[in-house]
Amino acid sequence: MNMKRSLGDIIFDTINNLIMVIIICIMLYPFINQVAISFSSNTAVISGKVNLVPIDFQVKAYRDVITDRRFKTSFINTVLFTVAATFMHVLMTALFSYPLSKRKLKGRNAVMTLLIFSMMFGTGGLIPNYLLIKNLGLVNTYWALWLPALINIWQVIIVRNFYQQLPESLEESASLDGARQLTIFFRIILPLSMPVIACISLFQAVSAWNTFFGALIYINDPKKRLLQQHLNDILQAFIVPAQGPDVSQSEQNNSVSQETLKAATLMCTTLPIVFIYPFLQKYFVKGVMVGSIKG
Amino acid sequence: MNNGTMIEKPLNKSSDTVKRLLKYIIFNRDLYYILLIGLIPFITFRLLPFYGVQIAFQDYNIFKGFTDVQWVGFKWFKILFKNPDFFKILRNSLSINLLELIFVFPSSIILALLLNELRNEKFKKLVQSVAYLPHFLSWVIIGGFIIQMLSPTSGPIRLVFEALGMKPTMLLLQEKYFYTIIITGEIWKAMGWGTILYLAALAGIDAEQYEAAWVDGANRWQRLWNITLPGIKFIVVLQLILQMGSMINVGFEKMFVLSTPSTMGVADVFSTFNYRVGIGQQRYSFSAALSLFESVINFTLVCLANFIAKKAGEEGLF
Repeated sequence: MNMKRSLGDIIFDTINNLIMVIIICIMLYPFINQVAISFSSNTAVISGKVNLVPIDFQVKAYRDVITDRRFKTSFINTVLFTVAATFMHVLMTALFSYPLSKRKLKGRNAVMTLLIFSMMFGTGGLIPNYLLIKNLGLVNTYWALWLPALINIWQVIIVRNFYQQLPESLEESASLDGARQLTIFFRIILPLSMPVIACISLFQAVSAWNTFFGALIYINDPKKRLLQQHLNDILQAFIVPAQGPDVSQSEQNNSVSQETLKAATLMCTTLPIVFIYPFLQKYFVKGVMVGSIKG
Repeated sequence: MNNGTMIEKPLNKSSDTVKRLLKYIIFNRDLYYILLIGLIPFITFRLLPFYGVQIAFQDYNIFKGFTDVQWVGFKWFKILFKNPDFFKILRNSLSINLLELIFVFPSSIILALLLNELRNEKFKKLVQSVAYLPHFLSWVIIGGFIIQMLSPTSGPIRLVFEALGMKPTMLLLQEKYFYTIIITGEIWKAMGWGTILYLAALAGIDAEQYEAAWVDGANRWQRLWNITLPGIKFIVVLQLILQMGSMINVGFEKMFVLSTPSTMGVADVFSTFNYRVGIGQQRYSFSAALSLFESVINFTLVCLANFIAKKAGEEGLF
């Protein structure tokens, strides 16, 4: 567009850019603040001096977090949990979407209607689901969290749409060579679908990492706790906070050693997501767009 | 040639239609096997729970299960409506959703409109990347940030208090600030991600319209009103309808993590109440009734919103 910018345009653009910069700062501020606190000394933190930069730099808080048995347990649990959840979910979704992408397959439309119906009506509520899990004997196991999450209808739609775009000739020539469907799927379709597979893997991994409510209801064994549960335990201590600068010294020290610890735990829980995020962010957006526009 | 590839088979109205169907299924059995593998968890975990909804009309006994049932009609619903907390919970749920509709919903649209006006593509992508990030954090994490930042001793809120010459207190413990905090947190989390849909819609608006408008001498605001907004009207209405469909749903995590006994008056919502009553007190039938009530209301609201949208001349969800 060959439009000349008027003075009004220039003012608008400047303000707009300024607003965007402010938004970036607002989005990032909590991270910067908590990182600073987690690397500062207790005394500096409770005197409220720490804002953007650590004061009295130290890594004691992180050392305390990493050596805490409860943290270690829940962290490792969550890593294994997430890997398993993602693998199972992606495999199932990729497989399930494949027959659904064959427009000519009889029964396909019926299944699609079923999926859409299920999407609109939810799953019947908290207790009916709980009873089902209980009757299957899955309480206090990770299966209670993995199995219901195996099929996510949005992702099925996204993957199905992707498959539909692949040229049929590929599959036809393979079957002329005598390949069964499963072979076609794993040797041809799947390798070509890596972008969309990456996309749903990441959605699922993040979702699994963030599991809280499911774990709250179903996981009672302290040895099986997940990271978000542990984080929540650490953070709930705010209910008994120090009231302000004129609290007694010993009370301050107690709640203090919690402050840097809380910040460090918070960052340890958040950092894996933040680290992965920049590299894979493009996949997320593409996936959502494909799914929602075409679906 | 029975290698499992699918081919089209014409369906005649002859007497061996069933035989043909069977042949078809066997011919394509590979695909049907795969379909079955996926249908089993789907049916088990997404359809089977509906069977349990019946306990909303029973005096469900966990030891007797579904065999020896006692039907009680609408007893639990009557108990629900007579519950002293019911009105409070309804009010809280609606209030929060209304506030979200007023503040959170437009924030994504406005941000999308502003992003659309950015001239530097790289800068635009940078802002988007940063804005999407909070969407991927759990409410335990975001709640954590909120709790930490509102700490009267060590949080940046202390600087604000001191600048105002007031004694720092924990705002999260006070009912009058609770909704503000919740809504602010929700905007922080949802504003960025919400722009995706709107930006896609904005990109779909024909650039020629803008050029024609410019030639006709339209200024920025006139272009916005006459071209841009109508261009995204469809998506906005759709999103609005979907939003209406969850008007009494408030997410469990954010309320659970951030509420305290002192804010229960404004913080108790259907999801937290259901959790307490169903899982905590193990009142299964009561909880099932509550869930069913929620579902029915949601469905009604979606239909209502869809109907209103259509009456206003817009395309609805269905």
